[in-house]
Amino acid sequence: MSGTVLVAYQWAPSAQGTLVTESGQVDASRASVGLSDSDHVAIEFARGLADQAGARLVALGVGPEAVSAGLATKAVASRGPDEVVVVRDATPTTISVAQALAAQASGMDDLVALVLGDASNDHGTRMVPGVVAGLLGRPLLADVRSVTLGEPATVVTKFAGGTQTLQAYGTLVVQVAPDAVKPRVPGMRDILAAAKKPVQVVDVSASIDNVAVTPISVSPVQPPSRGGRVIAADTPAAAVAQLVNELSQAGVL
Amino acid sequence: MTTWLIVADDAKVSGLLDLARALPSPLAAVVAGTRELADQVAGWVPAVTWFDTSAVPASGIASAVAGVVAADPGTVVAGMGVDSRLLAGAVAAATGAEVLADVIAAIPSGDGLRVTHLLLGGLATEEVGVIGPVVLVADGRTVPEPGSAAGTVTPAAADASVARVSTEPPAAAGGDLASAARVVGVGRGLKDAGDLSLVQELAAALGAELACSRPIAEGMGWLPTSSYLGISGQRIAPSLYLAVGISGQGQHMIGVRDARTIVAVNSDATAPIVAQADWTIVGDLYQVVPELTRALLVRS
Repeated sequence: MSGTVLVAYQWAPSAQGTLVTESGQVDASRASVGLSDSDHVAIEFARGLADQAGARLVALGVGPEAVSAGLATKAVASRGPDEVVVVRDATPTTISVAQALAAQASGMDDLVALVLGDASNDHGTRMVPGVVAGLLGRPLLADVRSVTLGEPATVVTKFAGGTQTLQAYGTLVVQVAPDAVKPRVPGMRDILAAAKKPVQVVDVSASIDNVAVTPISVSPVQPPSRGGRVIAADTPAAAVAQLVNELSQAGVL
Repeated sequence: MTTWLIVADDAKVSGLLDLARALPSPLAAVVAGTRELADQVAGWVPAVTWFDTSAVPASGIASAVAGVVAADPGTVVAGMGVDSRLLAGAVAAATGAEVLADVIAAIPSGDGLRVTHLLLGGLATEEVGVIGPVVLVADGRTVPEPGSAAGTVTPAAADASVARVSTEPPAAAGGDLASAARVVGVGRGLKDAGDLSLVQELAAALGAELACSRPIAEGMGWLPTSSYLGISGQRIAPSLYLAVGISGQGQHMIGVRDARTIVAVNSDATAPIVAQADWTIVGDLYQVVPELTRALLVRS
């Protein structure tokens, strides 16, 4: 093998299933914990890139203690990476996660590419890829559909509703488009093999942070009140006629 | 110190201007785009640094944009589009700034700012105090009325590290959910992928884009993942959202709650969507949707 491809991932409670109480408490007890959809895509994309380069694929997770649990690392390893590295960060923020990813990436002399999902390793802010690229001093190739490695690499990204083809030199920082590839569903063989793959756990270094962010309050967002008009006519045709009439009168149609 | 506006994707910056103008420092902008866009922004902002991206992608000039802001750092306000986020990330890295996304409001407070932003994909709002450099990423919303600032536009060049070789137009017309005035969303009430034609015909008759709930894209794979609406998908604000066979779970409704009007077709009168819609037809979508399509076609 020649070179390393890194793929970043998040092991965290899904926003789906998370509740916010009236008093502002965030309750994630009923949320499923795992990889985000965009990370599934990123790992699959990175596997293909590593195969193209003849490189090893290292999955790099940053997050609280749960990221280093056996369940988590096996779930990640079963999706194609050759190795897993986890960086434990008790209170991850966009900046601390980006710094941890950049620190790991910059320590690899043979890095071919760092691959990230659309919403990897943050809380849906979608800002980690841009910050990581900035910290590494590399351009972020965003919304990427495909990469053909070489010097230069040929990169196809989404652009203005269509696509653009770019040429980029050196180590690539790639933010994968959410529909770039279809992620695999790990089979029993993948799951069994995952248990034998190397896992390295490190604690996050003190982040370079010259900003003080102090939480003040959290409030649930209330949906706007709606009309709640229910149309239950004798026939579908009658219900539709009534609806179209009312929408027209309301200026909706 | 300067309050910086980063404009990259388009001129939808009314939300960004509202944020920036609430801050005390003088306002300047970095525009990555066409000269026309830069001139437009100069109507609202007194000083514009312009990077021409007609031949190079935004990624190729990100470090140069970061250099402009880092030379006179201050609070940065940027949009949520792909290129805006890419440039804002580079600026945050260069200036050591914290990043807050989905920002709704920011006001001066003591030595810093008091910032309100959405959390967890829009489930909650959080208010935080920030002391130090910060990048605020927000919804640009709409194109403001032409301004009269008569600002200066200073062209800037970058040693682009990425080159654009070619561009390809969209394979098919339309498909922009974010700006669509009307959207039809389909959910698990649809029984088979082959039945998608029912809602596609409805969307065509309504002049609407087609979207879906998460399971239709992520679970079934019937529509692209870019089509699903909700907490981890797209959030839209059309004038009309027509939900077909969608139960109305909170995770989906967060993506459409800013629609001006919500109409639902659902067989279950107790489904959550009923209370969250302006109008609901309770009935079998396989009977109601063809009737609705016919009625809309006759009307047009």
